Amino acid sequence: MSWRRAALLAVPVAFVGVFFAYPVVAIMGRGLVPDGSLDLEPLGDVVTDGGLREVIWFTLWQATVSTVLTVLVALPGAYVLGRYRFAGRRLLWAAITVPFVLPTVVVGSAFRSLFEEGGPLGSLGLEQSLAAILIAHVFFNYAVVVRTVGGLWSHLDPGQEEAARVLGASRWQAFRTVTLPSLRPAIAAAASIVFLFTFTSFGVILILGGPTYATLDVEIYRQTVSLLDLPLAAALTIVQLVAVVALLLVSARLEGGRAGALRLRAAAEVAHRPRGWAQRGLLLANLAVMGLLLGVPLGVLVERSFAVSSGGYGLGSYRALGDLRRGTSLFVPPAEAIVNSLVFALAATVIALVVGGLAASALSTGRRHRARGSAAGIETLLMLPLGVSAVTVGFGFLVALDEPPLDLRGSPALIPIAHAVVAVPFVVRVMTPVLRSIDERLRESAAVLGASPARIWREVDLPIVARAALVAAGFAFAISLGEFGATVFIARPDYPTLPIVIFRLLGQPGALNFGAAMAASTILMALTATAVVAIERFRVGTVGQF
Amino acid sequence: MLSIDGLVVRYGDATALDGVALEVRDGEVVCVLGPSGCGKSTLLRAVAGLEPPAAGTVAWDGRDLAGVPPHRRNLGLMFQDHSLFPHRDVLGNVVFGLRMQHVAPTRARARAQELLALVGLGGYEHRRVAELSGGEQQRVALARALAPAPRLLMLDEPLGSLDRRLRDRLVVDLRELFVQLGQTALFVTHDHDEAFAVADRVAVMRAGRFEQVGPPADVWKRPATEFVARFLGYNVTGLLGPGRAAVRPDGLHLALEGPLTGIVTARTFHRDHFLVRVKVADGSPLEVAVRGDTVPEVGDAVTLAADPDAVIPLS
Repeated sequence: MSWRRAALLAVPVAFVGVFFAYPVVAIMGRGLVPDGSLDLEPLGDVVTDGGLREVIWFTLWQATVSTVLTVLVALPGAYVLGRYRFAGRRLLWAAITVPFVLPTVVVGSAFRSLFEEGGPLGSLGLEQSLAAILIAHVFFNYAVVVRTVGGLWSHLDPGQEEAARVLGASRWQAFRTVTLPSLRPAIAAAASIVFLFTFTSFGVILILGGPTYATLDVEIYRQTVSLLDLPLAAALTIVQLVAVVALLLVSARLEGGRAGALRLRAAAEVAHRPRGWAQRGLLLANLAVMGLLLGVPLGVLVERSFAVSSGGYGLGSYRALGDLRRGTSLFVPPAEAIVNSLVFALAATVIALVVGGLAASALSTGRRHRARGSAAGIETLLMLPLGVSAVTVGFGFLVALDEPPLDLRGSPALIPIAHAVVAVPFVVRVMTPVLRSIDERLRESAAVLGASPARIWREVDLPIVARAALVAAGFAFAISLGEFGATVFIARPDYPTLPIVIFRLLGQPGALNFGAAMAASTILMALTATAVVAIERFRVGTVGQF
Repeated sequence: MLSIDGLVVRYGDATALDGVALEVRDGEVVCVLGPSGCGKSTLLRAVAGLEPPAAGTVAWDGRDLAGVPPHRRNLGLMFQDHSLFPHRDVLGNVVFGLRMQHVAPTRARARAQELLALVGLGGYEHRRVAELSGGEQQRVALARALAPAPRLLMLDEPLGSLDRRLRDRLVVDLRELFVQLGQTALFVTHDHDEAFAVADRVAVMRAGRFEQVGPPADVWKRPATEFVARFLGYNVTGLLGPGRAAVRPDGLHLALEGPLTGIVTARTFHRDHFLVRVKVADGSPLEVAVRGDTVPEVGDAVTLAADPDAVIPLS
């Protein structure tokens, strides 16, 4: 069995090794061994410098608070979207994902325009406040929890909870003792993604935190780009890597603990219309939360894209996208970036699905009591790109892949590869729990009926996992569309992506540029939403329904 | 012909099968009977190639199957929970094995329909498996396992989750089907009535070993060990003779004088008799079948005697 695992893992491990581990090692080499000899001074600076210690502490606790808040706010949403049948449920399922896949730059700007003096919520005094950062983090990650937990919830057999009720458990006790433990792997998976995300939060904090708040990522960026202090940036990267490895090990343990095979049922059999005033109230309350939390910032964004400087509304900002070029730092009209982004996203999705799908199936085959340790180790390796900042990935590409043996500098292929590096962990995260929850006896039945291992994968695993794979593909596509931190290092001026164009436009003075940035953001948002809705539609067919 | 010899399967430190030997001849139905956890499911999994043996051989017509993976063994296995593919309809489940054998779609379909008709589910082709009742699922699983014409069909407690009346009927259906098809089968159950009804030979298993193998009538008439006797519902007592002996509830009767005296602790009604449980002198409970109108009440003191030819001495 282990040779099969090894074969499945060969591609993912090679991919992560060449396009992630190698660049990271290269950065460290440049940072720690700058002149051919080991220099540990920068690492010492991180520990002794009060300012940098402050950065580490802030990074940790804001991530913790953001994660707890997100799970608390999103869990009822996961229930409502997982279990209730109501008009517009499918659309809403897709709509809530939009914030998650928006570029950080756009979200940062949307919240700033929301909270700035004179903005719709300017009177709250939240400009450059911690509250604004936390709200933006909940906004961003709400979908992670709802989709991961709600997806499992929608297939969970309600019979077990009913059994507990009959045994005398109250609704709350039944939830706590039966449903919650079943959901635990999904909640742990979602929470660890949210934590890693907010731990490496970059764009949001850069834009909303002002000079007051800085995470490790923001600091790495500042040290690399603004202060050109590579050794210190490398030392910060090491601290981050160590923290991320520790976090991933803890989360793998949390999830692995009781990831037993669950009794899954078809979602259509589990979902029901909300019954009674309590359930209807719960549904309405959650719809209100989604509307306020997710709708308002995006509404403001769209509103700004149509606003014209003379007052009133018009299409001026959109028209500007076709011809804005002279007098700006742009090489090509922003409209061209739309095509670039779509092509890159398609390529990145294919790469991420192949690499992540192979990894997920390798991680979920074999017996539970064997190879536990090695599976956790490999999973951690594959998750690493998720924890390390996209900035590090992009900068690593710039540093490592510009000389033989791998001289890809200037190759447009770098962009989808970088995006895939960022997206692979998501694919693995989404697919592994579903693959693991498939009853082993289904595979054994297929084997006895004459299906070879490859055939079992195609006939049993694939149809059941297809839905998770489509979700993963949606995420990968959207991540690629919105990826900013890595792209900013490797995008060539003649092949810009949409987020890069938005970022450049935001950096330009003037209402026209800002308006164009808002218009480009709105288009990006629409593209992403279309992608996610399309994927939700696709699975209506025979695939992924069970 | 299936030959199992000296088969040992271990899970970590636990030994699930401890040197098992068994032959299943062509066209024969052999039933492995034993309490849950005795290793009978492991035996099927080992024969199917799903559990690697630590020692011993599984062979078909003298050819060792050791290196043959499950999907090349051409065996059928029906799991207790049926393990139907939830993402396929009834027809999709039944044709699965035929598709794996590259049978042409139209022929596979015809064969599947034939089998569905055979198990009484004609017209169910496009039903979703989740919509089926337990008995229907069981029959779909049976049709799925039979479709590729496996040289040996193994059934792991196939009737375990069904209600009693359905079971009683399906046992007869199964027996009829096996005989009609000349199907070689290895059947596993914890229910001796089921085993006796369906099997040509019964193998009683305890803790990974066979205690007794033989035709149902022989095993029923002459349980070889105390374990087998108790498992089949015999009373086992040392009060009837020099050694320990087994006696069926209907081999005991109420008497004015006898070797056994005790107090009635329970009585239950069984169609044509009462089963009366009596706690006897040495503290062990004995069950006696009482026919007729005078049935002792709980708390009554009674004396029991055994029919001499019903007492089976145990070695």
